[in-house]
Amino acid sequence: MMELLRELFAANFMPHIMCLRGAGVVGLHVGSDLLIALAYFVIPFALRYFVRRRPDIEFSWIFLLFGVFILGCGFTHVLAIWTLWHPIYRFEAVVKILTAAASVLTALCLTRIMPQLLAVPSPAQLQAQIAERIQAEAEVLRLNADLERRVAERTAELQASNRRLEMALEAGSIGTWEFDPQTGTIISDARCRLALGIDPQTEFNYPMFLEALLPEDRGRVEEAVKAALTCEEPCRYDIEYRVIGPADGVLRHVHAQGQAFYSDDARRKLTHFVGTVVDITARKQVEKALRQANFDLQQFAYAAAHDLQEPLRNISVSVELLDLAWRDRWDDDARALVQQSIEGSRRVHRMVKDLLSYVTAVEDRQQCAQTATESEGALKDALANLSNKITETQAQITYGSLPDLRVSRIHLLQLFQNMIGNAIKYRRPEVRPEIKIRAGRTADKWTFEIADNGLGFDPMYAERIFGIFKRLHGRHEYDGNGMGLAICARIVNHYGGRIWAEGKPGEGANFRFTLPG
Amino acid sequence: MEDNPVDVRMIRLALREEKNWPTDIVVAHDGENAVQYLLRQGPYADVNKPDMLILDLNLPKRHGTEVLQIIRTNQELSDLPVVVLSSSPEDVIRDIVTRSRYTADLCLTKPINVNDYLALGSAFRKCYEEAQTGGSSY
Repeated sequence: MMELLRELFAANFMPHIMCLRGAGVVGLHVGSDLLIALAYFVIPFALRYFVRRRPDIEFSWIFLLFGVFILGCGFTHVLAIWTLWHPIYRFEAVVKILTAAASVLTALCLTRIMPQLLAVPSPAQLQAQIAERIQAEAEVLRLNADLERRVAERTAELQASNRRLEMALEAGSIGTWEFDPQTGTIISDARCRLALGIDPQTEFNYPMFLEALLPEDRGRVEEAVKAALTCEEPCRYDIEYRVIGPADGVLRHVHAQGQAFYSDDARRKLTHFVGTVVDITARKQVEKALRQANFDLQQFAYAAAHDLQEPLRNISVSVELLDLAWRDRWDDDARALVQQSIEGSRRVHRMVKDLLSYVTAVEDRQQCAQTATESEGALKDALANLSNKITETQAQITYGSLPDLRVSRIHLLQLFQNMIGNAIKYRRPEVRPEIKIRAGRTADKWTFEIADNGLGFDPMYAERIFGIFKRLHGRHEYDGNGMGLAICARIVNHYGGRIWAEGKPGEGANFRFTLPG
Repeated sequence: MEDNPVDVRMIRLALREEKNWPTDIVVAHDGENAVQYLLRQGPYADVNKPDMLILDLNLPKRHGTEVLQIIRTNQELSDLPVVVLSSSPEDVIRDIVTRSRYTADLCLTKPINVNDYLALGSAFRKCYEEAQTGGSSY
C-alpha cells in the first residue's frame, strides 16, 4: 500500500514549468487556475446552501452531483498549479479520473431526469395554474354555498315534515318503536311507553316487553314477531294484545302494527323492524259493553219471541176448537168475531216467528263459513224453494256468473229467496215478471244486483222498506209481515256490507247489496 | 212430556185421529216427573216402559234435553222412539237436539191451527213404525 502511495506521488517527471519558463504565461496560468479553483470551491457550497434553504425543490440530489463534479474540477485546477513545479502527474490523473466519473454520472443523471426537469412548471405556468386554482376554489366555494343552501332548505322541509308527523302522532296518541332483534333493544318514544305502561326513564328491551304481556297473549305475540322477521315477502306485523304496565300495573289493550325492512341487495339483510302502538283499552271496553248489550238484547228478543209463541198458540188453537164446537149455535156476528180472533192470533204468531227469524238470522250457528260458498248454488236452492210461485207466475229469471264467497250458504239463500220472492210478489198485474240477477266485483267486495220489472216503489221509501215490519202495501193486497228485507239488511250488515234499493212507481225495482269478496 | 194443557189436549186429539192405532196416553207435566216415570222411581215403580215418547223441550224443572240424555244413556230406554215437539221452528229444535249430542227420532214444531195439529197424529204413528223397523233419527 505504502509502495502504491509512494508511486502515486512520485515526482519523477519533468514539471510543466520547464515548458512554460520564459514564455511569460506562468503567471496567467497560475492566476486563472487559482481563480477557477476558488470559484469551483465556492459553487458547491452555494448549491448546498440553496438546497438546504429550498427543501421543496425536487431533484435536490442532482445539485449534490453538480457539487461533487465541480469540486473535482476545482481540484484539477489546483493540481494544474501544483504540477507546474511538482510533477505528480499520476495523482493528478487519478483526480481527473474521479472528476470525469463524477462528471459522466452527473451528465447521465441529468439526461435521464431531463423530461421531469422540463415538466417542472415555469413561473408563468405556475401563475396560470394558480389563477386556475383560484378560479376552481371560487367555483367550489360557490357550489358549497349552493349545497349548503339546499341542505338548509331540505333540513327545514324535513323539520317541518317531522313536526307535522310528530303532531299527527301526538294527536292520534300513536307511539312509535324500533326493535333490534340482534341486541333485543327497543327504541321507543314517550307515547309508546305510555301505551305500554312503561317508565319513561328505564331501559326498554324485548324481554321486558314479553314480561309485560299477559301470559295468554305472550306466545301469540312472539309468533307474530317471528313471522314478521322471517317471512319472505315484506309482511305486516298487526296484532292486538294485552299488557300489564310494569310502571303502573294497569291492564291495557294495545294495537301494534309494524314491518320489517331489508337491504335491497342480494343478502337481504334486516335493516329495520319498526312500527306503532296505540292504547285501545277504551275502545275495547266500549266494544265489550256493546257486545254484551247486543247479546242481552238478542237473548231478550229470543226469549220474548219464544215465550210469546205458547200463549198465542193456546189462544189460536183454543178459539179454533171453540169455533168448531160452537159455530152452529152462533149468529154471523159472533162467528165473524171468532174468525177475526183466530186470524189475529195467527198473524201475531207469524210476526213473532218472523221476529225470531230476524233475531236468529246472524246467530253463530248460521254464520260459520269456513269454506267459500257457491252463491250460484245458494241461488239455485232459493229458486227451487220458490218454484211453485215461479211456475204460477211464469216468472223469467236470468242470472250471470256468480262468485264463491266466504258467506254462510243459509244467509245467501235467505238473501236471494227474500229478494226474488219480493220481486215476484210485487209484480205488475198482467205483466210477466222478469228478474235479472248479476254480480260485479269492486275493490275487495262483490256487488249483487236483483232487478225486476214489477211495481217498483216511490224513492222516498227506499230506506224505510228495510225496517222491521215495514210494508208499502196494505195487508189485504199482499200477505207478509214486512220482515223479509229487514232480515236481508241484518244479514248484509253482519258481513259489513251495504244494502240499498232504487225504483220508481211502475218502473220496477233494483235491489243491490255488497258482500266481502 | 208436556206442561201446556192446550198442547196435551191437541196431542190427545191428534192421536185419536189415528183410528187404527189405539194408544194409551200418560202425561208427565214437568221434567222431573218425566224422569221419575221413565226410571220407574217413587210412585211410578210399577209402570210399564212406554212405547214412544212425545217430548216438549221447555219443561219445568228439567229441560227436555236432560230427559233425552237420560233416555239415551239408559240401557233399557235407549231404543225408545222420541218425538221432540216444541214451539220453536223445526231447524231450531234440530239444532238444540244436535247440540245436546243425543238423538231424537223426529223433531216437530207445534202447529198454530187445529187441522195441522190433528195431522200430527199420522206423523207420530209413522215415526213409531219407522223406529220399529230402524228408521232415521236426528
